[in-house]
Amino acid sequence: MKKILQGNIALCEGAIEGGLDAYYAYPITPQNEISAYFAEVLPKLDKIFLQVESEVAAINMVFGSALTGKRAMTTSSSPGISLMQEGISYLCACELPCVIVNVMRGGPGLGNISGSQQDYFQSTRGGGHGDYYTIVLAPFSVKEIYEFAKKSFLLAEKYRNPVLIIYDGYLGQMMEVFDTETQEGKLEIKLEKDIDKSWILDGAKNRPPRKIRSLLMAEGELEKFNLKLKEKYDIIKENEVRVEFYYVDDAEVCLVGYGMSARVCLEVVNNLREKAIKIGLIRPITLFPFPYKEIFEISKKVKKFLVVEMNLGQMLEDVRIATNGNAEIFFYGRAGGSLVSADEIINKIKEIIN
Amino acid sequence: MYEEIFIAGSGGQGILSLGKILVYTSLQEDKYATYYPSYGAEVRGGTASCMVKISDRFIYSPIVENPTIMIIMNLPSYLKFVRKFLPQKFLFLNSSLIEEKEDIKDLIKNYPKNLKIIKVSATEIANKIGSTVVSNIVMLSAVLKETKIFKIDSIKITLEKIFSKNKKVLQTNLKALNALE
Repeated sequence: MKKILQGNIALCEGAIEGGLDAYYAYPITPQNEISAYFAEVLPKLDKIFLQVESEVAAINMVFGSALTGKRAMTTSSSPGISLMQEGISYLCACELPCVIVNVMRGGPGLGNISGSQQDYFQSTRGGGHGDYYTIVLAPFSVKEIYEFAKKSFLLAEKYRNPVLIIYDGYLGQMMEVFDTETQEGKLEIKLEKDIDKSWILDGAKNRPPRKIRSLLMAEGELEKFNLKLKEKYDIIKENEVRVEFYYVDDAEVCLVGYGMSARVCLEVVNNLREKAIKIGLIRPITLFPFPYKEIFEISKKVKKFLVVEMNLGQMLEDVRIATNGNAEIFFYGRAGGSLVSADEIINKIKEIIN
Repeated sequence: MYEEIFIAGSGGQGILSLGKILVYTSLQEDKYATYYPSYGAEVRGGTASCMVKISDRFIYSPIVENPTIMIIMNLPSYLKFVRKFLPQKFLFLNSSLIEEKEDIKDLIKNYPKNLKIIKVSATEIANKIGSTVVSNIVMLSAVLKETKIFKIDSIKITLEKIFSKNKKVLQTNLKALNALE
């Protein structure tokens, strides 16, 4: 069936389809359509909708719901996500599955309300304090927003870890026709065993009480826990990398972009391929885990990379790490809520080739 | 088919609605389409604009960089956007609210592309129909007539869906759609 939805509304429909139980949020542009939609729909479905007094409250209510094994979600935009970082660190420390959505806008500070990708570092390096990561999904179409939202709870529960879905305000605001039947954009989660919910706190009736906490003061206790988390992140890195390649095999220059930047890159790739100019694109779909190995393999053949982002060079550092000196890395980015332009990418490619 | 459409006017003129009507209609005609609104602190009376792309294949970027069609509904948008870029094929101007400027006329005269300018007194016609707010649909009827991007019947279906709960508003919109017949 063909559908037409705004990015933010696709997120709502996907999350409901994915079994959302409770949603808590504080308003902020460019993601207010999400709260507006849930305010209308969730009570009718007998699910929880709460517009709370602050982002700090929102993330801590997610924490509370997640403790009980319910599927909880919050959404915000960049400044609001910064406020949530303490809570996200606690969620990771307590290994609580939940979904957090960042519809990114320009920063730093309050910045502006236009779409951006300036929160790449914050998203992929944990964001708060301590040695932790969230799984980061970066959809690039309305369909992917829908599909990722649908499966993100399962992914979070599989690893008992928060999943962060990030996309820029442009994707959130745009409407797009998409086909729900096709395989494209679907997120397959492989489960070797059933989801373990033996840890949830649901009242100790007829069983010994359980305890979930992040304060680990005993000698060596915290380091042991850190190592356990690392083991989990290593498994995630091994199993959950998602990346898409377009015409990379014979590419003279390989573009690297995610989210909205990848869409503009793809327009460039198709445009230049028609003129027999050999350009490819690598599109990381998971930003944590990042496709280091996959990009390293490509850097054995392709010697020039052009990283395109709506910031001043953040994923650029991961591409440098991935290529490990094998290739020349160029960068083109726009900041402050400006969108990358296809014409400007083409000019940059011409500079690189000549 | 591949069209990049840029629509601008003032908040309250139905600029974003017009864009959405085009996108919804593309679903009727089995086309791919994207819609991107210019959003901001704009309120009624501020500038509003949106970008629509319609194509037979998947559309990568929703951002209109080289419009084929431009629809300009008021003077501030005419001054702001037509000075900045011109479309490849059609420029629609709401002549009720736009007083053409010499420097922009010169720009158009020196423009190398075969650009057709269509002036429609959309606001006046809408007023005669009985509602200023349907000036966007009056303009749409001109766009359909000139560009043939959609069948008028497909737009009718879209309008019927949007205004299914308000027959009176639907009638006014349908009248506006037939205004130039």
